[in-house]
Amino acid sequence: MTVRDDASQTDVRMDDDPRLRPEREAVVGSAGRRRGPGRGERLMVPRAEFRSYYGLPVLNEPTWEAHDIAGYLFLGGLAGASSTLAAAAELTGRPHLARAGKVGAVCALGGSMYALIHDLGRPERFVNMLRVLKVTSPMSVGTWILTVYGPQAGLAALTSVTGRFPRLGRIAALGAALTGPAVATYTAVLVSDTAVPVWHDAHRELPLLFAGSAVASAGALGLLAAPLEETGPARRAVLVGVVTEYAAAKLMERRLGPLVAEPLKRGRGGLLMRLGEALSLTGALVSQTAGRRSRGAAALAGAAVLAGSICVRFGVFQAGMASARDPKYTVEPQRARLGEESHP
Amino acid sequence: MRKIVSYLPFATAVAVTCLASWLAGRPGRAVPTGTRRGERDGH
Amino acid sequence: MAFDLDRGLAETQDPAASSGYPDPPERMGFFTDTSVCIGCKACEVACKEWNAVPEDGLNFTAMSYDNTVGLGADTWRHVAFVEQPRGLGGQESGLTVVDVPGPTVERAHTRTPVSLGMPASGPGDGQVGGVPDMDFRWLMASDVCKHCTHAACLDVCPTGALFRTEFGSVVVQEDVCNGCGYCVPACPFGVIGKREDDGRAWKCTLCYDRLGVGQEPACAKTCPTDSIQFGEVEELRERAARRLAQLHDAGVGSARLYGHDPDDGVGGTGSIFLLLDEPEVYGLPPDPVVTTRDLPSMWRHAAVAAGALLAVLAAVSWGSRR
Ligand code: SF4
Ligand code: SF4
Repeated sequence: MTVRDDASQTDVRMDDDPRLRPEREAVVGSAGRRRGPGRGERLMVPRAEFRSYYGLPVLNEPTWEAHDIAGYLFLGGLAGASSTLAAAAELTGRPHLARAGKVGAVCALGGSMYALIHDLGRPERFVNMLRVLKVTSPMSVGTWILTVYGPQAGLAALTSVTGRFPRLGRIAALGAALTGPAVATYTAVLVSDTAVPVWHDAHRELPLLFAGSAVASAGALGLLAAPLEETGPARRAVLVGVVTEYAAAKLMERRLGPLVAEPLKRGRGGLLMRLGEALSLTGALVSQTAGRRSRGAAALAGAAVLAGSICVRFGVFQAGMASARDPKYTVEPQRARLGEESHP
Repeated sequence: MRKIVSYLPFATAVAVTCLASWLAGRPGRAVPTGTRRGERDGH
Repeated sequence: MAFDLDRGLAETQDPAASSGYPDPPERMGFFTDTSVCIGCKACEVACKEWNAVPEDGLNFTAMSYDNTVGLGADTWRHVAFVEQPRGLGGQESGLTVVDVPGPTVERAHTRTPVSLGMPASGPGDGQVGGVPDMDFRWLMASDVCKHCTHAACLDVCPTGALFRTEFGSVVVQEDVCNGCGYCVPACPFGVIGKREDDGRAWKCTLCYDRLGVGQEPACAKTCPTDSIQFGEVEELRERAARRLAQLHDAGVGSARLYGHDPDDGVGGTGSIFLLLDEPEVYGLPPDPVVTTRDLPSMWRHAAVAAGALLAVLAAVSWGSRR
C-alpha cells in the first residue's frame, strides 16, 4: 500500500492524519463535566450469569441438512466398516457374508455420494473438491479418501456379484478393507473441525463413537443379510460396536460437562440419542440370544441396530446444531476459560 | 410434508442397501470359488 | 497446497508471507472504535452498494435500531445496537438551565417529572424536567469479518475458494466455491454465510478490489465519525492502545480492546475493535479459538479409532470359528 500524492484521488492514508479528522478523538460524554465521583461508570445492573446480544447465536448455524449430512455420517460409516468386515469374512471363508458386505458397502457409498453432492450449494462444482488436497480441511482429505476407496469398493462388489476376475476382486476388496476404516472415522474429524461446541469439544470421543457405530451397523447389515452359519463375526461385531458406541457416548457427555452436553440429553438431539441407545442395546441383546438360532431374530436384531446407529448419528448431528443455535453454549465455556481476569 | 420428502433419498439409500445386501447374501446362490477355508463354517 | 499439517497450521504473525507471498505489502485491516459510533449504518449501506450485496430483508427486529440482525452472506457490515440502563463515562447532556426562561422554570417546578424511558436528554440534575436517576447508554458497534491471523474458514475450505490475499485478508473466490458450507460453522465469529438462492459462501472481502488500486474499503471511507478506521494492522494496534488509554483517562473504565492480542485463540485479528462492554454483549465470542488448532489431535484420535476398527473386525472374524 503506497501513499498516493495525486490530489484528485482520495488518499488511503489520509485518515492517518489526526488533524484532518478530529472527531475520532472525541471522548464519550465529553459535552459536559462529570457529575461527581462514581457517576456513570457504576455497574447499575448486577452481572447476569450469561449475557448475549438479544439471545442471538454467536455462530452461524451450519447450513448442512440433516437428511444429507447426518445421513452421510451413517452411510459412510456403514460403507467403510462393511468393506472391512466383508474382506475379513472372505479371508475366513464366509463367502455369503463377504458378498453381502461388499454389495451393502457399494450401495451405502452410492447413497453417501448422492448426499454429499446434493448438499452442495453448487452440485455441478463438486469436482472443485479435487482441485487441491488440503490436510487442514477434513472435507478435502475425506474427498480424497473416498476417491481412493470408492473405485475399490465398487470393483470388489462387481467382481463378487459377477464372479469374474476373482483375483482382481480380492485385491480390490483388500484395498477397500484397508481404506474403509478411514472412511468410517474421518467423518468425526469432519464435524469436530468446526466451532460448533458439541462437535468440537467432543473431538477426542467422536472418532471412537463413530467407529463403534460403524462397526455395529456393518455387523447389523451382516446379520440382516447373511445366512446364520456365517453370521458369527457379524454378531460379535454388533456386540463390540454397540458397547463401544454406548461407552463413547457416555465419555463424550462427561467430557462436555453438564452445560455443553445438554443438547445431547434434551431436545431433539437428546431424544434421538436415547432412542438410538435403546435400539442398539436391544438389538445387540437379541443378536446374542435368539439371533444365534433364528434367522428371523437375527434379521430383526440387525434392523434394530441399524436403526439405532442411524438415530445416534442424527442425534449427534442435531445436538451440534442445537449447540450452535444457542449462544450460551458458545459464550459460557469461553467465559469460564477466561476466568475472572477479563472482568474490568 | 416437504421435510418428510427431503428424507426420501436417505430412506431409499438405506432400504436399497439392506435389500441388495440381503439378495447378495442369500444362501444357495453360487458364490465365487477361491475362498480359502471354503466349507469349514458349515453347521 | 498444504501437505504438511504443522506447516499449514504454523503460528505466524505475517499471514501473507506464510501463505507464500514472497514480498507482501503491509498487512491491512480495520480498527473499529465503537465509542464514537453513532449508529448511522452508513457502513452497511456503503458495503452493500460497493459490493453489490443483495438486500436481505428490510425488517423491524424489535432489537433497538438493529435491522440486519447479524453478519452473514448478505450482511458484511452489521451495526449492533444495545440499550443499557447505565451511564457512559462522565456523560451529561450538555443542556443547562442557562437558556431556559424564568417562567418556564417556575411552571416546570410545579410538575412531577416522569420518566419516559428515554435517554436523559434534558437538563441535568435538579433542573427543568430532569430525571436524575435515568442512566442510559446506547452501545453501537459496526461488526465485520475479523480477517483472522489463523482463519478457520480458510483452513477448512476444501476447494481452495477461500484464500489469503497479499494484504493478509481472507477472501472467497466466488468462481471456485461450490457451496459445501464447511466454512460457515468453522468461523468462530459467525461471520461467513451461504447465500440461499445462490448456493455459495459470501463475506467481507476487505474490499480487495479497492485495496488493489490504493483505495480504502467502502465502509471505512464512508464512516462519518471515523469509528471505522482502515490502515496497517501494526499501526492500528498502536492506535487502538492509544485510544484505550485516552478513554481510560477520561473515566470510561468499561473500554476494552478486542482482537488486538496476537496471542489469542485466532492469533489476533485483522479487524481490531474497541468495545465498551464485554464482547458477548455485542454478539462476539469472548475467547474465540480457531478450530483447526486441535486438528492434529483430532486426526490422531481418528487414526487410533480407525486402527481399532480394523483390529476389531479382524479379531471378530479370525477369533472364533463361528
Ligand atoms: S474465520 Fe470468520 S472472522 Fe475469521 S477470517 Fe474467516 S470468516 Fe472472517
Ligand atoms: S462453501 Fe465455498 S468457501 Fe466455504 S468452505 Fe465450501 S467451498 Fe470453501
